[in-house]
Amino acid sequence: MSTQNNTITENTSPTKGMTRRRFLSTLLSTSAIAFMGSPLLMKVAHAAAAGTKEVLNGAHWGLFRAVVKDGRFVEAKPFEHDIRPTSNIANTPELVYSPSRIKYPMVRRGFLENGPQANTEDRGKGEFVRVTWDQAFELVAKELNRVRDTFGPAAIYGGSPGWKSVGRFHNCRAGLYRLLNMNGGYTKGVGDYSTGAAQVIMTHIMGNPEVYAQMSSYETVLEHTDNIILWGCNPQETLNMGWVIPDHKGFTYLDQLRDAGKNVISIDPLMTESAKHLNAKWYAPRPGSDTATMMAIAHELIKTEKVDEDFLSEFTVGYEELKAYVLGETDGIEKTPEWASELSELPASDIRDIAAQMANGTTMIMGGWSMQRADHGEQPHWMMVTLAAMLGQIGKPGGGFGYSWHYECAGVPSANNAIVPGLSGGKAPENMPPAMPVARITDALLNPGETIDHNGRKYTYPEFKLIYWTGGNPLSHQQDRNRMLKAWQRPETIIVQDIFWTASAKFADIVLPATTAFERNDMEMGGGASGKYLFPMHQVVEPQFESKNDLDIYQGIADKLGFGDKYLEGKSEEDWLRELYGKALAQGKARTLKCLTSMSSGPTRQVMSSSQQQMKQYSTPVTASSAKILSLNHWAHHLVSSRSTPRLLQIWATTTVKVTQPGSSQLNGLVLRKPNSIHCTCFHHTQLNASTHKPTTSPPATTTRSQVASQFGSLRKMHLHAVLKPVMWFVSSTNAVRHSRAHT
Amino acid sequence: MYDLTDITTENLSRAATYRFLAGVFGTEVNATFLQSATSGELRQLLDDLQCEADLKDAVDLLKFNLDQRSHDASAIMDLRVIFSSLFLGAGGRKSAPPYASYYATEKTSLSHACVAEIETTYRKHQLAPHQNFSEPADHIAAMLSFCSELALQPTQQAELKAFLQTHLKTFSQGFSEDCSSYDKDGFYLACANLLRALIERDLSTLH
Repeated sequence: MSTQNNTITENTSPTKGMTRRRFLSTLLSTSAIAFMGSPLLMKVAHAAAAGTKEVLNGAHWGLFRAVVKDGRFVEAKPFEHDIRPTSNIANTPELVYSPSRIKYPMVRRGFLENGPQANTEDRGKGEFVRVTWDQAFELVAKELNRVRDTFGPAAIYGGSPGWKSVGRFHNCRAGLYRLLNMNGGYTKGVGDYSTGAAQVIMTHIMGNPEVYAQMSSYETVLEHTDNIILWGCNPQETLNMGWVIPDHKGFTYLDQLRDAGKNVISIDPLMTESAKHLNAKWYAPRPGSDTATMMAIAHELIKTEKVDEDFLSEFTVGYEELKAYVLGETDGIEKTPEWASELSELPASDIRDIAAQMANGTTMIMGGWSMQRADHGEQPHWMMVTLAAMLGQIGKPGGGFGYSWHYECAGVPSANNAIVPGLSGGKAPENMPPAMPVARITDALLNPGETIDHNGRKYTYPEFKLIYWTGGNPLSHQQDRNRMLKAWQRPETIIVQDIFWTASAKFADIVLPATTAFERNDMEMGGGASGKYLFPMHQVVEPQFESKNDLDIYQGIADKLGFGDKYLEGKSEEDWLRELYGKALAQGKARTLKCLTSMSSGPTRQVMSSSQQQMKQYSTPVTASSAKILSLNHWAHHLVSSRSTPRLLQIWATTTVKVTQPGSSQLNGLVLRKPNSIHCTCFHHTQLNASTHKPTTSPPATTTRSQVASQFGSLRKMHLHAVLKPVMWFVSSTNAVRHSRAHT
Repeated sequence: MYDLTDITTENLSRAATYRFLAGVFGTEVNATFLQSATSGELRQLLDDLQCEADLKDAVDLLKFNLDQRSHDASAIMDLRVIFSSLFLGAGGRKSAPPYASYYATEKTSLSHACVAEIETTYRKHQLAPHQNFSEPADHIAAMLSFCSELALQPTQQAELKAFLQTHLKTFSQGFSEDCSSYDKDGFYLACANLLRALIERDLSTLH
């Protein structure tokens, strides 16, 4: 401190009778400075830095080795056997250390000062104050009880449709459902934002939602398919991500499709990475004109007599009505390529060209999801099924359609792996309110009491007084943002539990900070639709700031609500993981699968050796697919043997593998007369006969249709027209003649 | 607790000022603080600092802000809201995250190599962030607490200067600029200005 630049002396210091030195000494050595709170640094024993270690963890974008240096997550290295790791992996540490993390429990000022429903128009202004966890638990518990007791459980919306972090146990959605179920019920969402229209309509058309189904094996496509139609489908980009931890095996098959020289058509407003990679012919329709384009293709198929009338007659209903509509017999508008050209901005000649290619050989239509995220979004997917049916190739090797080729590496042959169950959402109470279609949240908030049509039923919106949202960001993914913001002012209380300050968190009353998946122990299935692996997810770093694991947050609330002993049943994270893993082991044992390692001990050479021998024995006689799976199992083997932290979870891998192959699976959604000889767009896991590799559940070829329907339960004849009365074909907003709405 | 008899008056003042600022940026202020800062011991500390030419303008601004402030519950709540907005993330991009990493990574991350360097420095002095302080080592309050500790050790003046130079100089510039941009109230802006002035003074006077 420079004494030349100032005039401070003991005598002139303004310390009111006390010498300056004495004043400062007193300030520092007594509790006079205690207003500053707890000491921020503490004495610790001299210790070396923690050093560097690597732990396995995973995310929606792949498995990785987390490099932890001195207790901090500094690098994420793709797992060395990931065939095409994504660049996202490198950014994973930034999730943990993002400036956008919610660090402490926070409460909106107006809510804290004046209680629920106070100044709800101030939501989103950022006026939050920090509270302790105990205060937060108390506030949330009090509100849950108040709303349930005053307005009934239907007034509580447990909003968490859609995604969550990977992990079988630490499931923020299931944990919330469990909490709200135990507290007397709530209104749950039904459906999701990804495929809200398709999953409803497909269930009526095909007998299952299709959109999250395993696809026909790529091996079959490689062998039998001549034409691949990518309609709004871009797997070369979207396969980077998965619902569980992806192995990116689908990229290998995309490479093989490219190398095989398949005729690939991309119908997409954008020149996609998939179109480039597969050397596709690119047709760029105007967004929203898909159904019109498909209808014109149907028109062309009719006019060129490329329609498989036998297939339509045998397996579908409604074609004659459809045909009449396409030909303009019902509305006077013939759905010609010229007619569609005006809507789609595709030259009519291009539409005719697409139709000709589709009818020339075996054609697999790979449909994406974005086109069904719109008003009347069910129409393009419905029409796509119709085209596949008109070509008569549904069920034939390499033909038909599929709606998950871009998702979860569907099409990669499935393994008969044991599945680790997740945390249960608990048993719904007897008076559980009916579920609400998720995308109707805005309508429900603005129009309580209104009755709508949904999936063939009537649904009346309750008046939501409390929203508890976790695992999603409705203010981002709900359409019509400004209307949503207006609706968001309606509830008396909004609780958001999240990792980050999302838009929804900013517009909440109570904000609870959750950990990332890298701050807790868990496990997750790997490989997407193929289900080949169970991956360990070791804790990388301690919970950051004052964030808590989702389940620990719910447990704290449950304690306040008086059922804390039931919520997690007094079991620790490790107890739960051991239990869930044990259930998978029991499954595997019951199905005579072999586990490469055990949970509590490291892999033993003896076990591995035995497993490998059995894998070889099993894989020899099946198909080329099994060889692929063997190599993937080798990956799993390597993962176990090279892991760096010998604790908690090891890897589970199959030694017996069932391959979806021609003739090996039942066909869902169509009534089959000869299921053993027909190939399906949607293979499901079925038991294979050990010697014939035929499905053991298939009916005999002479079975009557009614017997088949009875045996397969939900199977029904494929409806091409008007199954959901009064839904009719929708063409575009300006050309629709008759249409009403299938609410989703 | 240190034996303060061998510590110069200048270093006592330095240590008290760093600790004062560590408290301001470490947690929300309360009524006790405001009372002390307007008419109690903290006001005496500020009056004392005001006599230093290098700090006078910054202290004047802070005292002016304090003197305009009501001490009722609503005023305390105002400051809690601003603290959450500026330092706890509630303000989103319109905030001043109090971490060296944030400014070392051009406002993209709270994880920079400087965190490990700072931890290593603490560890050398057998110090670590307190278990009740749920923040990383590069939080400004932890760093200022460390500076206060060093100021009370006559043999660590060079280390204090090096620490200020390496970890606080650049940080305090960006930090005070963000406080200037986003602190609608002015209290934390005034404190950030004082911090910046203090660092500049100490970098020029410490040997």
